[in-house]
Amino acid sequence: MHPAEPLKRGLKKRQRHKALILVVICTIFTATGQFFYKLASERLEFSFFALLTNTPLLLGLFFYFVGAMLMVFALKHAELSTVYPFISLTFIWVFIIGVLRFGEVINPLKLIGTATIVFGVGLIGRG
Amino acid sequence: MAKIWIILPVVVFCTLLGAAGAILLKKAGSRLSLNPLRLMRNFNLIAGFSLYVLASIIFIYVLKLGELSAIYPLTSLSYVWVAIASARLLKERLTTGKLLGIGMVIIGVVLLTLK
Repeated sequence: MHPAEPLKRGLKKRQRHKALILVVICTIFTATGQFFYKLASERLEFSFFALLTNTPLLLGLFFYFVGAMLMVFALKHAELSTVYPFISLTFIWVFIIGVLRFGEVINPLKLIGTATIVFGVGLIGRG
Repeated sequence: MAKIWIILPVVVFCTLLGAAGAILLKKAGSRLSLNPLRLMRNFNLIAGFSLYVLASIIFIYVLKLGELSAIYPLTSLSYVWVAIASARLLKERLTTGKLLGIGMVIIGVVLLTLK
């Protein structure tokens, strides 16, 4: 074993941890983007000009964009299959936002459905 | 929820757009540079980005029709499309794990639309 091997493995582990932290932050940004999308949907009009001046919409796009950039950087340090299961966190954040900020109902069908999707996406990602 | 007949097809359409955007962005990522001039000429980047924005705007219209926590999870379908597309276009294998995951996502989507 090359003397630098343990060093390399430690480096890779730290890189992976860095990537996972970036992904978690990405999910928070993405969920925040969805929060603004919902706000934007409540003040929607069908004209192009109205879309451009819809502040929540612009904020939502911004947060979504930042989230995407974070993902791009995260993927530089880790495999997609490692990172994928954490993307499911977004569904959990959005669920919490929906219930707490928009007063949406919690019913068993929604809970089981969301949980199944969370696991499903994780499974797809792990490959 | 009778509006589901409007919501589901539109969300499926949005997720298809989003998946296409994601694939284009992934292709763009392989030629990513921080040079702004080069970035502007990266067609995959611009196309992928535009598809994403378009999908988001259409999605926002759909959000008007129902709850965020009920509609947003439906966007998980985009992961299903990307998995299927990767299997066909990039010759990535559709493992049992992936198929199981796809099945679970579909079940979850059905459960959510039943509400």
